[in-house]
Amino acid sequence: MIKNTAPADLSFPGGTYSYTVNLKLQLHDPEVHCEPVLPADLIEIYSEAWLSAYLRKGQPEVGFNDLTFRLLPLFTAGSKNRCIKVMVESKESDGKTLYSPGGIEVLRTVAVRGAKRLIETGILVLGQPYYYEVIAKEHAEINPASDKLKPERRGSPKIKFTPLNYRRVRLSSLLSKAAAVGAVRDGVPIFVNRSTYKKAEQSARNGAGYDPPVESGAVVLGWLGSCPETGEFFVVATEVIELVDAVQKKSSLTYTDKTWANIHATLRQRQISPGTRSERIVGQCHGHNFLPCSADKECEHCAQRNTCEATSVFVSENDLLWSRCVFSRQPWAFCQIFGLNARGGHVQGMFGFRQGRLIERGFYLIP
Amino acid sequence: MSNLVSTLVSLSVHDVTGSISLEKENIQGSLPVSAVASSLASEMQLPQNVPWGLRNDQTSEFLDDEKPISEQIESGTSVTVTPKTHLG
Repeated sequence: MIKNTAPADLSFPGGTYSYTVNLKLQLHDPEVHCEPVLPADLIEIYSEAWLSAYLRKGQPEVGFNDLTFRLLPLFTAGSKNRCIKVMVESKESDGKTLYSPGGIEVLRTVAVRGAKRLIETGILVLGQPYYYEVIAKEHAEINPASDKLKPERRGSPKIKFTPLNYRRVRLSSLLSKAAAVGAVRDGVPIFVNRSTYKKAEQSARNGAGYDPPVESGAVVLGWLGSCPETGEFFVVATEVIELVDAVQKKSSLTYTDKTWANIHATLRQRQISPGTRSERIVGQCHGHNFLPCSADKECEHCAQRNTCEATSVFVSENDLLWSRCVFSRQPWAFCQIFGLNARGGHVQGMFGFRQGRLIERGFYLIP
Repeated sequence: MSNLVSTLVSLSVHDVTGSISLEKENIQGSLPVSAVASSLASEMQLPQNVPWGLRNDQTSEFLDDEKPISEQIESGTSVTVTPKTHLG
């Protein structure tokens, strides 16, 4: 993150940029499709900039809607429109401006949307590789008459955001009794009560008992914290709500109206009690209760390996899409998947938002 | 049908986690719920790669995507804009 100034080799005018993601079948061929980047496509990128520049810097009182965002391009050498990277500009009402860099993969979901259109029209075959590049078009000055060209702020001015509810708790008090699971260096610290973890795993693996096995899961409740000493922002998972009436299939899990009704009713009830008033949905877990695709082929190194790395723990395109829809503007949210390795052993992975994707990350277990 | 066309509906809309809300007025009552939900999701800058539905907060039930919205709820009703997608 670069504070208060743009990098020396950049000169950003007061205008803004529109973007397309161009898809190619071969790297050096002309594009076969140009998919426009919509305002909603940038929400994750802007949310992550908010998280890193404000929430994790001891400023949780700065709301997402207090900021004006722009996505700025960094061009490939010799090109006036092809991006090699992008940068999010976050501006407060007093003019204070922060910059957060990112790669063009933050717009991967736009490329996926474009690829789906190509598959529908028969230009691309499912599973066929393709290439994409991000093209920026500069609008020299902001046109006050056009909302489309204004820096993105909060979408429609009629949208209201619930103020962020968080507790001020010293991070050290949690870390002193925490046990790390996986790599916890990057990302917002996530703490999970051991009893919550156990319930989450039980809910996720419940579908393994069906014949044939199906996916099952839960939403995870918890509270958000801000450390008064370090300024770090963090998540504490405290409870799960098992999914009622969800449609459970071998490789999908669908929340129905009854599922959502039960979640909302349970959460409302818990928010009445003083001890759980600050709870909210902070993540979801589900079970990939199936063996990895490679399980029917014996690994030639199986006997020599202590652990099996072929697992069913992964984030599917649908997992990512669901998470983007449900946890819009909540970059701290997580997706925990419980699965199997090729030997049938239990494995799990926690995934958090990074650069618009869900990337595996570690967490802390606490008593 | 002409009666339907002239009906305008107001809705209190929020997302599934209750963090974003919107008061929307003058929605054409003859529009199918799927079109209204998609428009509301767009206005709330929610992802456009997915179909959206509306859940009546009073009954907790999804509205029928294909039927006109004014046939299913009264003006002023609170609804949740909900993604119609699944985990995989």
